[in-house]
Amino acid sequence: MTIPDPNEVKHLLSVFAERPTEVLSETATLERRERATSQIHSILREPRPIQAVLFLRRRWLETSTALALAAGLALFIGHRVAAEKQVLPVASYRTLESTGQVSCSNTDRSGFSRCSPATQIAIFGIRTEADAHLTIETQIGVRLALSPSSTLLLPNGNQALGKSHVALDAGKVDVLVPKLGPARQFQVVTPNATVTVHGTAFSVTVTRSASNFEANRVAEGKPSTCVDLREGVISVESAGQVQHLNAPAQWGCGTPNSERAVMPAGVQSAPVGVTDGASTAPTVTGASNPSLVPTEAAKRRSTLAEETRLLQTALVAERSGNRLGAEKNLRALLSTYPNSVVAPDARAALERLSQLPNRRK
Amino acid sequence: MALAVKTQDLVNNDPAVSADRKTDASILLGLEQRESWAAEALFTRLESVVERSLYRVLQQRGADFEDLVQITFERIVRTLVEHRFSAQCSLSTWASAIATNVAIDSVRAKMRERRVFGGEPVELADRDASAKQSGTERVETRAEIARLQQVLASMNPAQAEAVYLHDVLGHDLAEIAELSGTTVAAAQSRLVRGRKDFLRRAKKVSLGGQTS
Repeated sequence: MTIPDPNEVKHLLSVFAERPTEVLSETATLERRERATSQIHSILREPRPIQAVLFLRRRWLETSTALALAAGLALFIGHRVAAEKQVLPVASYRTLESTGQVSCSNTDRSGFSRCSPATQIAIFGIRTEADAHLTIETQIGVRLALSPSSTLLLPNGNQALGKSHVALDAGKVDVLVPKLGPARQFQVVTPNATVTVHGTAFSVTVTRSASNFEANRVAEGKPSTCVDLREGVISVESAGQVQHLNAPAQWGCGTPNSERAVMPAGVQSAPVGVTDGASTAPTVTGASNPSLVPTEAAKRRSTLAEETRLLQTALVAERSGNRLGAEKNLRALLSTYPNSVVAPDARAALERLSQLPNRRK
Repeated sequence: MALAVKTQDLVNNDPAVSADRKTDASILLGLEQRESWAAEALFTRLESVVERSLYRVLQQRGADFEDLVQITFERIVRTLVEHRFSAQCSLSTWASAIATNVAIDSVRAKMRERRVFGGEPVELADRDASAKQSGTERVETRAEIARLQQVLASMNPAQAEAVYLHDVLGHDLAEIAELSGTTVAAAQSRLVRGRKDFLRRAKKVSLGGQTS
């Protein structure tokens, strides 16, 4: 940008030099004075505008600019906050049972500090110390029982989303998944496997030390995963391969697990172990692979089939008008398996039956 | 506050004191308190300033000159009662700037009228203004003034005001900033851009050759 020559401008504008003006007649001067002072008086008689209005009117450009900037800033901050919320790796849960020392992280896997899990409502990860047990329930009703020395990450900010997952970094978690909708999945992700379920009970164990029971197969420090399926059906994906397991079954477990996580009362555990070596194909046992011999733990009878049978029998009796038979089966189901995943259905059926007229009894 | 009056100025609030002896602060205080004498004092203080400033831009006393005087006084009083005058300069300087704006606005309005309705060019400099010049010289001067008035009127008003206040009336940037209600940096920017635009427009209307 060229700078204009000030002297050239001044020279051009010199034609506006001050010149003597014509002297007005006395009459004209008086007339001008009268008009002007009258006008000034009329202005002074006007009601005084409010100072704030004056300020806004005087500074309308600055005010509107400031308002626009403020609005833009608010939008930007709101967008950033919304974006932060969207990616914020925290999840809500409620604590069902807790013993021993627990650490929590609200930011990342390195930010763990001692916490009282009962007071935590949004969290990224949770870690149990050597003497601690913790049972929590996520927003979609998945119950997670952490064994001692376990680290569980809940990276899915909204556990109510269709595809929820938790990540087991180390240790063992016992999982009880309620009936999920058709479009819903729940996954437990380990360093070398992903377990996908729709409604079942199982446990997942990650072992990192080479001195574990698979030491002869696992490289130093490499994680191994053992999936212990007690009820329902799950699929395990590892090294690009997907395997479906029907309870009772294990995946990747060399020997049965010796320790059990604390689960809510009534939850039946029938541990079936699966251990995955990092460089070896996983060992699969159980109903998913009839050719393989089930372990002792896998031979324990699953209760899900019995629970379902009782519920179905009751529902058939209800439809056929056999109210007594229906109630009998439902009460048997609830008394034997009070925490069954089908217990809510049983209670709802009982409620329906209690509202029926007595003549149908 | 701009209208704050020092103790020694309070004597000036006496209506008996002639308008010539009143200070700016006492006149402002009188206006703030809606005193009747303040209108007279303000007019007495500023009449000659307003007239000279208008005449300097217009270079003639046209039919609407008296109306422009009244418009200027109305603007001055409104800026004062609305506290837009922060007393960083004298009342005379403030009034001079307002009168200049009124004059440039007037030229701009006349240009607009001519564009819309056609008609004769704006009457130029006062006959008496260049009494010592020959007839040819007077005509040339009038034509030059008319073209420069058009240049100023066609410019961005803020830039035209900055150029006029600085290069004609001799105000510095701080005063221009105060008179324009802006910052010194903005006033400097207006001045530089205004000068550039002024020269471009002036050369466009064939004034460049006359100045070289």
